[in-house]
Amino acid sequence: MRHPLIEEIEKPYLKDKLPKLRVGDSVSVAVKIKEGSKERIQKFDGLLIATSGTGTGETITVRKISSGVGVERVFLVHSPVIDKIVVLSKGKPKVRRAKLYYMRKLKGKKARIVYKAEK
Amino acid sequence: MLGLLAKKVGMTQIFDENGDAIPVTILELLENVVTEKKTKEKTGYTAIQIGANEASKEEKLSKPELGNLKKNNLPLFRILKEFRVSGEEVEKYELGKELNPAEVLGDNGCLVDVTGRPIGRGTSGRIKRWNQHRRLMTHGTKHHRQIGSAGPGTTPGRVFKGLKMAGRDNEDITISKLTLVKYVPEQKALLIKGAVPGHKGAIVSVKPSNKKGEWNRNALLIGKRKAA
Repeated sequence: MRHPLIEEIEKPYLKDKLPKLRVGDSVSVAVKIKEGSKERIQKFDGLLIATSGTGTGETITVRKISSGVGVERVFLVHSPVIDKIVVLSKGKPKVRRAKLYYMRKLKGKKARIVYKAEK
Repeated sequence: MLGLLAKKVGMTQIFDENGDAIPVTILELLENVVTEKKTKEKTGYTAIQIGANEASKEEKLSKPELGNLKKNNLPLFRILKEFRVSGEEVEKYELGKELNPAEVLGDNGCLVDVTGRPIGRGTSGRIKRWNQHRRLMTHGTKHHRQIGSAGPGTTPGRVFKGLKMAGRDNEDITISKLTLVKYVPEQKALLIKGAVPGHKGAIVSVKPSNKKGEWNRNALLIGKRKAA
């Protein structure tokens, strides 16, 4: 249990319009990137393999295969640097673990997640 | 310099305007009422005593403390702390009045010193206590975490004072030059960058830092860093 005062202090820093993020979801994270004085948005699409933390410290780990190499990035969900998070997959991911670290060992057809239609 | 009493609540992180996450410790300010003004004529030195946290019973206080509080018709504060201040400063504050945190500490971004009792480590060895190194654990070594030599032999025939050895520490420590990230008046909370001594719920005192130097400048620039 966290102290109620911590929750109150964090409240103004939390995003209120976040989609429901579940481990196993396929997500697209839009990150703001500063280049000199210009700002652009870069997308990172992949599989959400882990969530961690609560409040302002909440993070998600997203994994994707980029040119045959597995790449994982950890995003601070409530950070102002994160422009948007979109859930791409439809339905409930059929996973039995809270952390999908076993995906690191799988590739090709085995590295798929089945999604069940939600009632 | 005058300081404030606060309770350590815990740590979290907040974001500045650049989107950087800043680690902060949340301190909940206590009442901070001026309970005694010590003057040169009366006590021989000048200081201000601050009180906080009302006690449930009179027995929780010592007789001299109780006498002073009763004389001035003040609540029975359990925590009393004295801060050495100059004579003019003693004049500025009124007995029985609650202190204004922004006035005592300064604006957001200023530097503060935080004093408190660190979390208990019990009797600890030289490695934990003095950040010394251990020796090999394997390859036939028979000494792992011991101190080695305590000094020369027959001359001088004694161990020099101040040799770093194992033992127990239970003294207040001060972490200086911490940045006051934000003062939140609604919740009576101070957000201080970085860690602060003590366990959650521990009482700490916060006062403006009197240490100045080149180092300060960067600390003051939270959120105002130049665009890369």
